[in-house]
This record gives sequence, C-alpha cells and structure tokens, in this order.
Amino acid sequence: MRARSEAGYTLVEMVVVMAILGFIAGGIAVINVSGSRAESRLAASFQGQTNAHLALDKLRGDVHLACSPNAQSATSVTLSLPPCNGTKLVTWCTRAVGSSYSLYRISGSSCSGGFAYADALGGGSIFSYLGPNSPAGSHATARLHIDMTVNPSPKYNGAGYRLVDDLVFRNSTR
Amino acid sequence: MLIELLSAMFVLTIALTAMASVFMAGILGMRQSKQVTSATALADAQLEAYRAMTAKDIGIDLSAGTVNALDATYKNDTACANASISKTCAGNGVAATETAPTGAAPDSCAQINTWYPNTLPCTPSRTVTPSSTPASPDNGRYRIDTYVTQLAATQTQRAEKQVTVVVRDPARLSHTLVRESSLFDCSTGLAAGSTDC
Repeated sequence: MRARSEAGYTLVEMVVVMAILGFIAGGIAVINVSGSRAESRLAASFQGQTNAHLALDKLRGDVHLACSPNAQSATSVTLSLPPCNGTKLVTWCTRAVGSSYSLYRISGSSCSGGFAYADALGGGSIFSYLGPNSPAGSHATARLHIDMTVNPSPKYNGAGYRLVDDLVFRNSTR
Repeated sequence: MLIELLSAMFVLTIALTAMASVFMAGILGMRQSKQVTSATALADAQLEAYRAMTAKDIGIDLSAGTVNALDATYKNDTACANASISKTCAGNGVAATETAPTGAAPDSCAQINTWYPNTLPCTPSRTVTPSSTPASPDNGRYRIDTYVTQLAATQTQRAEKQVTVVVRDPARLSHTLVRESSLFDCSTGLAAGSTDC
C-alpha cells in the first residue's frame, strides 16, 4: 500500500484540471487574437491618417510658397515655386494603386515617379482651384481646395478619415 | 486539491487582466492620438482661412447676442487675455480684448461666413459634428473656439491681429486638444492708398 504522502493525482483529477486549463487557455488565445487584430487595424488606420496629415502639411508648405498653379486638374496640380519663372516646378498628383489611390509629390511637371506621401485614398479626384477674389467681393487670395478621404481598411473603418482644407497661395493676387 | 486549483485560477486571472489592460491601454492611447490628429487638422484648416482674408475682415462676431451666448470655458481661456493691455476675458468680458472686423468698411460677419462656409471664420465658437458640412475628419465631435485680439502698433511694429484657435472635446470642455496661434499684419490685403495701417 502507498504511503499518504506519496499519493499522486488520479486520472479524473488530471482530466478535470486539463479541461479547466484548456478553457482558460482558449480564453487567453481569443483575447490575444482579437486584441491583436483590433490593435493592428487601429494602427493601420492611424498610420494612414498620420501620413495624410503629413502630406497635407507638406502640400500646404508648397502652396504657400508657390506663385500659382501652372496646370491643374482634379487629380493633379503643378506648382511653380520661386523664382516663379517656370524653372522650379513641383507636381502633386494621385495615381491608382490597386483598388485605392496614393498621393505623390514629384519634381517637374509630369505625374510619374516621385514619393508617395499618402496611401489608401478613397478616390483620386481631390483637387480644385479657387481663383483670386473668389467668391467675388471677398478679395481672398487664390486657394487650392483639397478634399481627400483615407481609408486603409474600409471593412472596419466605415467612412474613413476625411481631410478638407483650402490651402492659400500666399503669393497670389487678390 | 480545491485550494491548488483556486490558487492557479487566481494567478491566471491576474495574468489575464494584465494582458487585457495592456491591449486596452494601447487602444485607448491610439484613439487619443487619433483625436488629437483630427483636432489638429481642424485647427489648421481654421487658421488657413484667415490667411486668405484681408486684414480688415479678420475678426469675430461681437454682437451682443453672440457674445452673451458664449460660455465660461470660452471666456476664461488664456487666449482671451492680452498681456499688453493687462486685460482678460474673464474679468472684462469678451468685447474688452477681442476685435470684430475693423478698418475702412470691413465686411459684415454674415458676409464673411458666407464666403468661407467650411470654416465660418467670424464665428467665435462652433461645434463640428458628424452632420456638419464638412464633417470632422473622423466623424467625431469637436468644439472650435476662435479668439481674435487686436495688438496695437508699437514703435517697432505695425498693428497686428492675433488669431488663436483652440479645439476642445465637447464632452470634456476643460480638455484642450489643440491650440494654434498666428499673427496677421494690418497691411495684409490692403488696397492701394488705404489708411487702415
């Protein structure tokens, strides 16, 4: 007969403990996976939002410096920077990348190459130009109207992150 | 046996709670950062509107109805204070330190707000909601308080208007998300021969 101090666990005890631990481990795994997914979605959306904000700041700097847009469409704007004689051109444009669009800054007047400042834009038509004194009587400087929506994960983020701004051509006439 | 099991579950519960708190802290921190980024975008857009305007039209609506509707959060803000004339909004009321559009025939606030409908630069305090046009970047609610104070000319500089934009969380008005400020020279956008500056 085994001494009391040497008594081990019975099979039933082991099975019960393992079942309980299995439940707990399963719970931990579920929390871990859903937590990681939520965090990575949020991180992706925050990254997209931050990039869009930085892109807008960079574009704001260029527009403030520019004399006027040399060429402008809904998807592209070419800015003439000082000395304002057409020798220093910078183009901001959107290009399709898969099912979304990216916003590029390129030295020169064509929309090829360059650096992508913002990704995951919902659409490519983000620019419109408001000329000097628009609306009439306001004596406002010329402005570049920006309306862009960033949405890295449309399935989870709903409408996404929308930036609307009227960037001022500080060197324009009124 | 029961005690061993209970001890094990207690330890595991502590570990689980810690793990959940780490996730929650990460998510809450990121949400807070997103809110500040959105508030910054709103403040940037608001200040940008003043850069397009002529100096005479920079100002806020100081009509009695508008000023009376402003709450203590607006009036007690430090942006209302003007160190050069030792006055604060809290002690002297908004009209004492802030300025409406000034100079030779400034346009009316109603007219100015019509010209810049996205930012309503003549409105001292407004709340952007998901149903505003345009809505806030993340469809959240933000309160945008704008202060325009007149700084008198000195021997070394012309008169200026100081525009301060403060974006707050409407659910916690004491919590300032973003504060931005810029000075505008009185000569901005003057017509030739004007004596405004």
